[in-house]
Amino acid sequence: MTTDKPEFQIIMQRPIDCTSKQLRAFANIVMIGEEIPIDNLKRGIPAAEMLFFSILDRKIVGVSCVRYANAKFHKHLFEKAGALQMYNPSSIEFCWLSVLPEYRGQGVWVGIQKARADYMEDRPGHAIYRVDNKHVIQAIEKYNFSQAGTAFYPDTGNDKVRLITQNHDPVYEPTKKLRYC
Amino acid sequence: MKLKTLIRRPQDCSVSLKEVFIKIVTAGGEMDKARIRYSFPYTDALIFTGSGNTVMGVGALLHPKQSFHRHLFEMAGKPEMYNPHSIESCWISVLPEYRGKGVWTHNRRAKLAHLGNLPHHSIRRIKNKNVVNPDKETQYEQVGHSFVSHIGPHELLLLAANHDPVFDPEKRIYYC
Repeated sequence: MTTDKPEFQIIMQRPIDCTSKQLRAFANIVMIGEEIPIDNLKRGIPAAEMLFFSILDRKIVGVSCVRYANAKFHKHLFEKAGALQMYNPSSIEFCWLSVLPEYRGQGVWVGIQKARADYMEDRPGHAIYRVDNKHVIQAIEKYNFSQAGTAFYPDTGNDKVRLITQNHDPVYEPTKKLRYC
Repeated sequence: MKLKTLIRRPQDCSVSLKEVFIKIVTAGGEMDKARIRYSFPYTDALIFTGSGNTVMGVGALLHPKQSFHRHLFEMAGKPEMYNPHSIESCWISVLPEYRGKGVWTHNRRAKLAHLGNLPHHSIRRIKNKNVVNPDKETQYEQVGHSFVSHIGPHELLLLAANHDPVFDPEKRIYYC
C-alpha cells in the first residue's frame, strides 16, 4: 500500500492568456462553493491579475486568483474592520481559492498558496474569510497573514468575516510603490 | 487651462467614464468600439487627462496577450529583450480640438510617475509623425528594427523603457 500524495502541477496565467475552457473550469470550480454570485464571477475573472490552476493528470482540480478589488469596496473592508489606516491601494486581493471536494486534504490548497506567495514576493495583499471557516484559520499564521482590526459584517453579505493582510504597514506608507529590480 | 490626470483601474470607472474613453480613442479612427470594450477587463489602468469635467485625452496600460507580446519582440528582431513583466502603454489619444495644448504631455507625465521603473513598451505606426520623433523621444528606446505585423498593414516601431538588453529572469516586481 502506498501513501504517496499525488503530484499536482500548478500553473499561473493571466486571464487574457487562458483558453475559454480554462476560464469555464475556473468558474465551475469556484461555483461549487456556492458563495459567489455567478454574475460577479463572470465579471471578475477576466479582470483578475493572475489565475492559479492546480492540475492533476490534465484535470483542473483547484483554482485561485489575485486581483485588484473595486477601490470603494476595498476601502470599505478596512473601514468596517476598524483599520482604515492600513488601507493600501496597492494591496491585491487573494480570492476564490477553491478545490474540488474529492481532492481536498491532498495538498492542492498548500500548492496554490505557495505559488501565489512566490508570485506576490513582498507585495501587500489581503483576503477576507468567513469567521466560521475553520480550515482557513490554521493557515493564517503559517503563511504570514495577520488579522486587520476586528471581525465584521460587510455590506455585501450576511456572514461575519475577518480581514487578513500580508506585507501591509501598520499605517499605509504612500511613498512605497511597485518597483522592478 | 489647468490640466489634471486621473489614473484608474477599469473596475473603478463608471460606465459613462468608460464610454468617454471609448469615444476619445475611436475618434482617432484606428480602433473599433467592440475591441476596446472587449479589452477593458484586461486593462491595468485607464488614464484620463482633462480640465474641469471635460476629458480631453486618454491612454491605457495593459498586459497584452503573451503570444502577441512575444511576437512583437521577435518581429523587431530582439526576442532576447522580451520581458513578461513589461506592460504595454497604448490607446493614447487626444481629441483633435485639444491637440497642441499639453494634454498628451500631461497624460504621459502622470503615466511615467505611476510606472516608476517598471518595464513598459509601446508600438507606434512609423507614419505617425506626431508620436514617432527620435529627436524628441526621451521615454523609450527603439527595439530592433521596424516591422509589419500580422495585426495590420502598417509598418510599426516597437519602443521599450526599463528593459534590459537581455531579459534578466532574476528580476521581479517588489514593493518598497
